[in-house]
Amino acid sequence: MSVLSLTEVCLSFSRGRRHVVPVLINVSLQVDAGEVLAVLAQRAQGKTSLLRVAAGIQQPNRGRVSFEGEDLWGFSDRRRSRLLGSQIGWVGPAVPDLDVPMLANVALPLFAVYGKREAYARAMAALERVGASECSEQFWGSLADWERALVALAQGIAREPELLLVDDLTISLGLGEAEEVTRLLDRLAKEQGFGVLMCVSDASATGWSGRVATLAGGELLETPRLPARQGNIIDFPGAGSGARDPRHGISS
Amino acid sequence: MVRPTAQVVALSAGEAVLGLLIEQSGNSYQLERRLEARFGSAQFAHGTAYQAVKRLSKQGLIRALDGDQSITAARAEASGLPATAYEATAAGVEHFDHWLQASTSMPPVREELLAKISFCAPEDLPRMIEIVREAELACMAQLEGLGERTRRARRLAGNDEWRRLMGIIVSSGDAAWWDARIKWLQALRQYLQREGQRFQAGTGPPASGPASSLPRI
Repeated sequence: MSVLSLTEVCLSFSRGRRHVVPVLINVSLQVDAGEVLAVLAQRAQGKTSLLRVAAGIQQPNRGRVSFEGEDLWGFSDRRRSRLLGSQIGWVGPAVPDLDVPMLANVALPLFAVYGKREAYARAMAALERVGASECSEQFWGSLADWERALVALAQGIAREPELLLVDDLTISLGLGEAEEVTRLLDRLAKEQGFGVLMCVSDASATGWSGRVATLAGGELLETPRLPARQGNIIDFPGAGSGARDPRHGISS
Repeated sequence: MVRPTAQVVALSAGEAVLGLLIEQSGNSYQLERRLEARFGSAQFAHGTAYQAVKRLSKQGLIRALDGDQSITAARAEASGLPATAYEATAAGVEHFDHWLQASTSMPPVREELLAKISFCAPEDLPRMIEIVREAELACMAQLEGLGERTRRARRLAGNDEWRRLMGIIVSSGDAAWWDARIKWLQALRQYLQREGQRFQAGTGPPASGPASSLPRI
């Protein structure tokens, strides 16, 4: 069963009385446990709206949003809002509200659920899992961009979610760094068995995820899922199946 | 300064295979795998490395490690003997150095899609939009393959730190190419969709509107 499933979801915002801006048009997608779906989209193409719909923050105009097979909008408001932060984790490039060391920063949201001691223990474990235990005593201002991405990731996984929603985490990262962070995300998803829906604005950040979709003009495009493609050494992905790329100037 | 040549210089499998053999000797099957891992986006056809090995041997740029007793990978599999491994000759190394130092020129943009757009009529728009969508999907399939290829290339690079670094640069160059391509195709698709709707609504001829009707990129 898919962790997250969107079926023919439509979302639009009204701008004034007569103008309606469609953001998502009949968007359907599925994220299974342990896999990463990267959605590549440019700015103002509905990346964050898609994540907000998946998180149950934004109710779509039409369509069904299911978390582990259950209709998210069939839940009570209380249950749905509790889901976010516990079973659904959110990772974004946000600056923390309080200027505290990173260990406290990751632990603070956990205080609502666990005691102080366990919150700190879980926060430290999460930082270790992403390889950022050295950042635990540091403040946000002294961290490099890629360390900030790791801390944000630690915050997202600290409560062991089943679904992780990642909003353009790698946007400010340099050559190779974005790849390292997405590779880590892919490994964590596999090891801990959570599904990841990741929105990115740059293709270099999709490099390590198994599946890539694009979002433009409200339309989500995804390549057909072919399980045989993985691990096949000689067959080139896309070649021979009619899906040749239109690039020219390469001879053999 | 060397003037860029008008001649098309695309990556040839010959130089790629020769370079791989200079790095490490190997048989045709291994070369085929290494070629795909290192230059997957080039989409060399099946068996390219085998053909390149034949051609390079004939040119004297590579030679079989065990003399003239060359055993093809297919025959080796049938007979149970190890397939012939090849190595670069001195002439091969010289040829490769020459290639590495020579200037490169950009391949010309001979884009079939652009030509189709240039010739299409308003009634062709729905099919054009579909073609753009197909091209987007093809790019995405390439991106999806890139991760797996990078993984394989890294395994083959082993502990060679320099090779690993160059690998990161090459794979991000690959990703940047597909990124630019997908972004342009997305903008093109939205533009065509909007123009198609405008034309159907009779509010003006397609593609003759002001530039401000272009989708925001």
